[in-house]
Amino acid sequence: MAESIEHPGHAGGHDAPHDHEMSFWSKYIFSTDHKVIAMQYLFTGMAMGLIGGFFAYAFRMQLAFPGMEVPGWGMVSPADYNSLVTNHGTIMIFWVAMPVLIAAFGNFLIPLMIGCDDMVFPKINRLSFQIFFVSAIVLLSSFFVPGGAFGGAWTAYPPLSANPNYSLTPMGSSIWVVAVALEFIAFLLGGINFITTAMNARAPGMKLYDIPIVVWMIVVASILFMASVGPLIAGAIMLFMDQNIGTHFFDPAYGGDPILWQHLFWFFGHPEVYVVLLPAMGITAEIITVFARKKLFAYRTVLYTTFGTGVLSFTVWAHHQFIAGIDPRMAHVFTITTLLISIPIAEMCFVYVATLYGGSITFSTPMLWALAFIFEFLIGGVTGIFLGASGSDIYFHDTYFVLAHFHYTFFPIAIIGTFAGVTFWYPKMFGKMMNDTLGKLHFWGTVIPFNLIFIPLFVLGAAGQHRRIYNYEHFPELSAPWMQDLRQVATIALVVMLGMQLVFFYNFFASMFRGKAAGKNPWKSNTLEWTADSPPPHGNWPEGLPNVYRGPYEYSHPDRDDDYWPQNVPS
Amino acid sequence: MSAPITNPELELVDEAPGRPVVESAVLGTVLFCVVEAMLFAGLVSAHTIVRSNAVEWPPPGQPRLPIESTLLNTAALLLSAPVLFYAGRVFRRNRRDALRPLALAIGLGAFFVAFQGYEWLGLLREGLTLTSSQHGSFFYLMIGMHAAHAVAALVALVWAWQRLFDLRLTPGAFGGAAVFWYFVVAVWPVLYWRVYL
Amino acid sequence: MSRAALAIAFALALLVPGAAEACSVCFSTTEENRWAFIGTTVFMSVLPLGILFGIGTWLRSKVLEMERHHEAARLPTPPAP
Ligand SMILES: [Cu+2]
Repeated sequence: MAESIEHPGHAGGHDAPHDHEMSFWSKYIFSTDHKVIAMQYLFTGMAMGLIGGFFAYAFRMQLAFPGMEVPGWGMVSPADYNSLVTNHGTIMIFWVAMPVLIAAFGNFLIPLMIGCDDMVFPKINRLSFQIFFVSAIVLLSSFFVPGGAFGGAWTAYPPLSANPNYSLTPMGSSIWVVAVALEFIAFLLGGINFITTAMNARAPGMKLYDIPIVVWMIVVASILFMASVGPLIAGAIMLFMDQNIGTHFFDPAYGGDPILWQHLFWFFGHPEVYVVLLPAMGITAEIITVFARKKLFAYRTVLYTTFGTGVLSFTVWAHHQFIAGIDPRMAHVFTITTLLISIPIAEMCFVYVATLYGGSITFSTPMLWALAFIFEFLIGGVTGIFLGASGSDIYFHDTYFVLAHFHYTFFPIAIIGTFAGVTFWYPKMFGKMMNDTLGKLHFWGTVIPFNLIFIPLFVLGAAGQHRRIYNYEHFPELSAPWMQDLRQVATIALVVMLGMQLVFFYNFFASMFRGKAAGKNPWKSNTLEWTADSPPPHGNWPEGLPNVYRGPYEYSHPDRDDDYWPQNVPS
Repeated sequence: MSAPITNPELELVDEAPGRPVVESAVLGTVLFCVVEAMLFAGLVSAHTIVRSNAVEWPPPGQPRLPIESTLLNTAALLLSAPVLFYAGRVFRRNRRDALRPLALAIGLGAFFVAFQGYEWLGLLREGLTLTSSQHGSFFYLMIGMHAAHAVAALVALVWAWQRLFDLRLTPGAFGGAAVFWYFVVAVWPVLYWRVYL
Repeated sequence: MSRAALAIAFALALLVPGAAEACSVCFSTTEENRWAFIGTTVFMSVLPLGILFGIGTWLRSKVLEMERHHEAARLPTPPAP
């Protein structure tokens, strides 16, 4: 590796015992410390998020102003367009939502919130990030190979993805499969770590029902991931063999079955929604209890609802195949299960609203993000009902209505949820407070344009605008002036939103140096991470690990003067 | 007595703070086996669906699989599980005595893998290859995937044997390696039923 | 009719529209293939839930056992609020 060459003294030596001075490499690059690994995931995820956002900018410009020379990219050719949308989706889900919500927050929060010094398998944890990092490089490298990056959509349906004569990306599509498979291996190792740590390394006194909701939700999300990813790994191996070895698993001309891939993919793909949703839900739960100064309404109900969501999430995947020719009897069953799964999620939203009810609410930046998450995700959930019912899905399938729907779920999860978590735990991560004014400016500058992007797309989708079309000028019935106007509104809103992220990055990096010192517990929160120093040192609690005496949400207890009651305080 | 479960590079706390519910290595391996079980479930389902599409299965002109000799091989594999279980019980009483049954379990497993390889050579000669038909593709994919797991589990068991020989083997590490081998044994009958029969 | 009978009748009625294909060109050729899809769908739905239920029950029993035996000994009981 290049790093070892620059530092020959540390080549392969990061396992050797270090005395006092840890070099930059062993402290920040090859560390087994869960907080460092969390930051590695966070920064890699943010960098990939910028790339994914840039891709969105490039192809949205093409849709709004067809044939325009896009500043920063140039002419978007049809092949460019396909690989941009494909890799936008792939990156945002696998290289942004997953690493940030599961890996970064999981790594940072689980050991700190359950009161232990590190993960139970620290070296596997480090390996997890290294594989993830390699997978990101592999994916991006596909833009520089002959034929260009894969352009068969992030769902990679065969025969388009399996046959280079159709996809015209002989190398790009194989690299895509390899990158995704590597990424799965990375999260698999991470998931093993999260679940085992939460089971085995809890602080003395922390019973199962004393574990903060966000830890529970990250653990359940990891379990969902582990139990659903196997079939897709199998499918990825088969797809890779179809591409490179000459098998015909998905080729109907040779007795294969292309619908089979859709089942293998969505068997993972739908639980994946809950894999990223649950951590965001958990982050929201932590934030609203702290800023409403109220006990979480019905802790156990939330927990059982989480389990219920997990159970149901394994039985809904075929709602993606309603028009792919599945048996109508199956479509019925999957319609029912899909509509059922909205119940636990709705219940969580009700629980959060009940938590807010009667609380003394502070509208700090993290709280705004958390409230926006509930509100925007609700829109995503409600529009999903039309798509989950097989009858209406026949009309809506593959229109922009679908696209707007899942952006109304994934954007609140991956972007709003992430910003909620980052602004909330920033004082713990870096020991400084972020600027609240800039934070609010960034909040409104992100949430308002977000709605302006996707509400027009709902309208266009309901009007029948098909996805995956490079230039609507070729379709007279889809290029009416009002439709083109809506496309331009969406694109301009996107540009504004991307520009507003500069405010965040300025605030994020400037506050590291100029923010005011945070102290151990700036939000007066109960959970254990706030009893460690900010930022926590290697080992988290050098003076001794905390004991736990109660649940995490004892706010505004009537018998106490303080309106909070940390978990580690005996009385 | 439990091995320290937290970061061994830290020497900050005197007593290990965590109280393992189950040995971490065992729990970690069990979770890994969940992924692998679903991987095989995906392969078995894919095989079932492609097979149901075929007019005739196995496809005409393709060699039959060696059902009978593989049955013998299956017996060797299945036998290794109780032997390994016995080794685990002995290990808990007197560590050194487990060397022999552990070696026997490894031997049975190695026989299984070697015999499979021998049969593959015969099938290749008869014209069943990865690309000769859906039958061949699925056979080598599924049985090969199982063989890869068997080899990996054998490596883990040999590593455990070596550690045991040096008297450095922890119960957790032994348990982890054993769970993985049980998984390899448990998956095989399903594959035999779906692929061979 | 009782409510349960109504529910069962409703569920059975859902199985009737077997010929209502959403896509007129992409239907599977054989009845065997249809049943293969239905069978593997049931299998793939039940298997992970079964595995997770088993592991969850096992871990839960282990945790409860540990909480009974060790917890009281290790922590001083907090005074009642
Ligand atoms: Cu879905």
